Amino acid sequence: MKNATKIAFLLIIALAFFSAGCWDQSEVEQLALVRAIAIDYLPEREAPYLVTLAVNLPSDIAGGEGGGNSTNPTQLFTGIGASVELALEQISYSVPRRLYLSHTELLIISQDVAKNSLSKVFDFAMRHPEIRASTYLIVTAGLAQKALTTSERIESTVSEEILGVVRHAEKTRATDAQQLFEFARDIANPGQEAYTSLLMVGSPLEKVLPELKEEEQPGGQAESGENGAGTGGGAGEELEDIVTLAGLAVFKGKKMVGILDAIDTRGFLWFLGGTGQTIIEVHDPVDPDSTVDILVYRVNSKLTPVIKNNKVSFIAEVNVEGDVRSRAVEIDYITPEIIKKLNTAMAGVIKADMEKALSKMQELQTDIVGFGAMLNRKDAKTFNRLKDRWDEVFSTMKVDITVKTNIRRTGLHVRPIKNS
Amino acid sequence: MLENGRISSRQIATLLFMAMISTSILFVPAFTVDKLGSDAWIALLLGTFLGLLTLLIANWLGQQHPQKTIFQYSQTILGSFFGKILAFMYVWNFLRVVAVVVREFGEFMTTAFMPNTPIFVFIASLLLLAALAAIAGIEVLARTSEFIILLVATSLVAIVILSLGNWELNQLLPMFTSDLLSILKTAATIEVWKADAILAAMLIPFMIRPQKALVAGAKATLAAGILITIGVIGALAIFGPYLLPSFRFPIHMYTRTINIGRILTRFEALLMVIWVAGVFVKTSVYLYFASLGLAQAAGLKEYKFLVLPLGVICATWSISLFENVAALEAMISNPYPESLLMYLGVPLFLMLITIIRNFLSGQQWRQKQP
Amino acid sequence: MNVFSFLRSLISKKIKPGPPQLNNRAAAKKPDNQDDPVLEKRLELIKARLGESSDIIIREICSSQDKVKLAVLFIDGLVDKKAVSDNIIQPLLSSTIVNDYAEKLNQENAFALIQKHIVSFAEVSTAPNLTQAIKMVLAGDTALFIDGYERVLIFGTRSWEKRAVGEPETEAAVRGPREGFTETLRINTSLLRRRIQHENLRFETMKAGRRTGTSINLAYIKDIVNPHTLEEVRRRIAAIDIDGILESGYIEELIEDAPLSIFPQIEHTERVDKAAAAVLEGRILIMTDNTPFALIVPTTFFQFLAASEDYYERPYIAFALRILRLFVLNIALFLPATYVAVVTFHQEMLPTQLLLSIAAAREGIPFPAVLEALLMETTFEVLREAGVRLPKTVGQAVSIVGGLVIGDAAIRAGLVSPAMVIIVAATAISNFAIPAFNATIALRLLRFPLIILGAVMGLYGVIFGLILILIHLAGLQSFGVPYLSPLVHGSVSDMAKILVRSPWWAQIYRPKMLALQQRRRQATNQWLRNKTGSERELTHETMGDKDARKW
Repeated sequence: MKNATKIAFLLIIALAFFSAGCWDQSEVEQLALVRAIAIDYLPEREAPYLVTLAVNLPSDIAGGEGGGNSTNPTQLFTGIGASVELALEQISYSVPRRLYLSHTELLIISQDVAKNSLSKVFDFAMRHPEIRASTYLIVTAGLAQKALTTSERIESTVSEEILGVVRHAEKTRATDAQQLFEFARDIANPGQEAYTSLLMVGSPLEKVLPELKEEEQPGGQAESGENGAGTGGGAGEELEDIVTLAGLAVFKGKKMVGILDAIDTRGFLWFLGGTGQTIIEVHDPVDPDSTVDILVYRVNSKLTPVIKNNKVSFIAEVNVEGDVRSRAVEIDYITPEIIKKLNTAMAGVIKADMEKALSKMQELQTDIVGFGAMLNRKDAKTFNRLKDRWDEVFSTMKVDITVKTNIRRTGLHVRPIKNS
Repeated sequence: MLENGRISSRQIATLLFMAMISTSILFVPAFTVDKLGSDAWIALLLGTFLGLLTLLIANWLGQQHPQKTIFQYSQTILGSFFGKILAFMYVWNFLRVVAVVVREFGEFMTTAFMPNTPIFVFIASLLLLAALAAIAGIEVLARTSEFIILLVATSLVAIVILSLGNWELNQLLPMFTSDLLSILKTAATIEVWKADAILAAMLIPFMIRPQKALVAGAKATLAAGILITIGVIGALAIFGPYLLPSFRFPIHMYTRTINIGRILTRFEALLMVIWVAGVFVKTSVYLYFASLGLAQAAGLKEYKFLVLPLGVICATWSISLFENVAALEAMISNPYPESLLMYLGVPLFLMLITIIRNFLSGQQWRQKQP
Repeated sequence: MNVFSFLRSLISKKIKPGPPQLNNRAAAKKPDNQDDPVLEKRLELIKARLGESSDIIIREICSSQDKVKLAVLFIDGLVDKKAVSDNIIQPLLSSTIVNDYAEKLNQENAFALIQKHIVSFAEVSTAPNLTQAIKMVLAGDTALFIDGYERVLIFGTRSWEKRAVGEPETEAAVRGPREGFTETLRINTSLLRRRIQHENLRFETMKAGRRTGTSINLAYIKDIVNPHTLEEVRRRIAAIDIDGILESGYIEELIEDAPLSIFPQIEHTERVDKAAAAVLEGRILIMTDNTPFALIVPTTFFQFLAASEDYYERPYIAFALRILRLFVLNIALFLPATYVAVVTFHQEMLPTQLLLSIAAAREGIPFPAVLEALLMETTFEVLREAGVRLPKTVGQAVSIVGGLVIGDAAIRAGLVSPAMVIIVAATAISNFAIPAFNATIALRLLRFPLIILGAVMGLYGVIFGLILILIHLAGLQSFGVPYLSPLVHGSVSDMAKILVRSPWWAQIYRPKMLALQQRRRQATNQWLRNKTGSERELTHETMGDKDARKW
């Protein structure tokens, strides 16, 4: 009998444990997996935050046969509120599942948000326990929601599509996307300003180029309706918008102050160095009218602060390596002298790009390269003196740029094919 | 009989290591970087040395009074009345440590992993585990911690190695910008984490070979100090000294940034394992010594029946001690008056008294004591 | 105090030694003073005590011209009747022998003469009284009663129908001897003797079980084994006072340190080479009559992860397989619980693609993940039990078919998700990959509470369960050796042995944790270690290949 009481005692404790309920439990199929969040700011309204969520419909992705590949596996939910959290709450009123933000890979904000109220949005993103620090932050020119309404062409969800575009653009050194923690780190750092990729939603080339526009022909509709393939749709079908890169959005503190367009972005990226492949067009030394395309694959840049007479300047040394990609001129194969000339030409182009980008940054008074941080590392005392007016100092700072280029290879071809 | 178990020097090292690292890995980076920026690691190393100092004193006292815990020889050194008071002070202090640690544990679990679960569930379940282990005796505790340390060490090393890809050592500069005073003050604050070395004073009498206590304890303290410093450096390398203080749990965020090939990601589970297992060891050791100390101080024959009631006391105390997490944070960042006193001051005091009494009455005084 | 002592008792429970306290209502045995050296009275007593069973044979003999009356008692079916006839009865009746001794044979010297000169059977001993004699007859010996003598001559004529020595069925190995123990103790001891031909190999016999009288043999090597352990084993077995011992499992439970624990603290084996290896290592082997399973004592947890072929094949494969087994152990115990915990509580731990697959798979399943897991696990256990009971020819097919078809059908019916079936299958297979069967019992049982813990508190619940198990394991010991040795309380070299099986030329010492008398098992000056010096180079030429240069 004694044993029975002991066991009963333990059982009571155990049952008390279990009967209190499982608070955090949620079945997987009760979750709405949010893959991307787009935040817009509509200033005329009382509840200015427009939040769009791209939610995965799981059955269409991993189901198997008959998954309805023509329908969009991503579902968009929109809500509006006085703050991001309130907008999310409003969305949840019409979603049959619980919104689960742990798998959000993309946070898209519009330019309005970036210019006016990034701090609140940013704080929301950093404080929320479900949003991960490795989420990418992207700014769009125009409405952020438009980015999520574009159609996926290769990937299965729109968030993967956009993210793929951005991440692969990083490899071709057309942009540099920032994750939330990198962005936060730059904001916190007194010697650096933050930046992130800028995207644009627009019509595909087929709609814009007049040469590609369908010609109105009577009776031609039946014909073109038969050639099914092509630019993604027959006559009469609306081509959906696509997302393209538009450069960098540049911030000062937590406010966006300007844009670096595509060319300036490239110039800026020379300062940062790294690997990645991009094409530079250089005037051919032999025939100044035609151009040579050179592929750059490695950039090594070193920025050193120089303090003289209480004035700060920087020396930038950039080492570039590349291959020749295409030439138009039909002359003999590329000799070392020609390569030397190409090197100089390329260095000139790069230096010009960098100076242009630098002047744009100085015009905007934002040090996104991080010159201040570098000065801080080398000579903290000086930086501490200048910290409060670093923007001014930066805008008039002289940067001495030296570019050394090295063209190593010329591709598979040795000399152009002559017609003799 | 109170306790018959015997532990080896490796087990004492394990126990000390686990006690030191489990709570510090989570809370220490935040406030040290807040105060000192990139120089946090200097304060950490200094704090480690202070811990070594505590270890030295505790070890000396333990060798002077073989087979006796501090609860017992405090009575010998200071006389019955004051000794008992000192012993009760230590018991009270240990119980408070348990309450604070358990509350920290609950806060972390609730904030980071399971927000809807009431914190009391975590507190109660952890104290239950700790009580079971404490009742089982010091040998079981030591063996459990030997097993757990494998888990914890592997997970920590795995987290550090996996995050190496994101490290940018540039973020660590500039260094050496803080002044000495603030470094010293912060080091003193950190001392409370390393002062788990005082546990050595309790553990030495249970060792098979007490002479090895010093080396083992030193190894454990240094290992814990180095590992935490590496952790802080890693967090600094990813977040930079300006961003880090804005996080409540930097190591948690740090683990979140691990993302290798989009597959090796989301390793917070490892952190949970480290945290739960580590806190379990620390709590059970402190609870055990609180009960044992109480039994010894009060002259009782058995300590085991004290464990559960003390556990319940700790559970309720942990809830009532702090109203919200901000109060907890405040207490953690500024504990040093009392911690220095209890962990460094008092043993030092005891040591001085022993030396003086030895000096006054020659060697016989020490050996005369039973 | 009760609750606390109960909690403590969950951790270990030591058997208190002491006089046996069986509820013995059939108390008073007939005192032996009823035994009468007079042969007729004795035979009547025997008939009264043993009854009229048809297999009890009494053969009366008159010898030496009726001067000495003898009677032979044996049990048909337990003795080698030919040996009894030829070597015991025949010499007693034979005229030549008797005539040789006819004069000398009289009542006084009959016993000594018969014992040493007349009877030609090989194994002879004496029993002091009738009770002992009857006990030995019941074991298969033959008793020879001589009129007038209280002492009885006992001949070891045991022989019966037994199973041939064959491959042990529960512990098959790819490489290694295929001999397994049988149910006859004598054969088992002979198998062991063949492997350890050393004078210090000792067999101590004890008997246990009031009504079964089962013989128990302790096998050990006298100058290696830890004498305290040996003493403890003897003490515990001597304290057994039970009705009957039918299998070594009874003994296992009766002498365990913590009989309430799920984890076995005593290893059992059918393989002779494993038993011999254990004895050589300094452990004690407990062999029980009527069962081929011998017990090995003391045991630690990590021995359940070792298979004997680890020691016969190359060390690298042993290393890889041991890592695999550790991994498999974790899977068998924690996989379903972790899956349930992560899928219900911590969906942020899964990579997005995986989560999407699982979510898609779980669309439309009526049960929550917990119930699904418990259902599938229970079904698998049922299938496994059924597979054991079925005859071999049918069993294989049914279990495979059962698994595949039922699983598939369940998926199609929308009752379970494919992910769950995979998890359960992986768990079951992991269970089979662990060499020792009794350890897998613990794993199979512990899986279910862990699943429930995982469902209630997520990953924290699983860790909670892990720590609970750990506390329990840390407190277990097996005859003084901590259960988790050599991981805890062991030297580094012992710890490495969990994973790494060093090559035989490097295994110089026996494990430290057993506190043996002699630790060294190998000399260092052996071929591999002493290659320098006068060893000549082995090339084609020196090996006698005269055409070497032509190659």
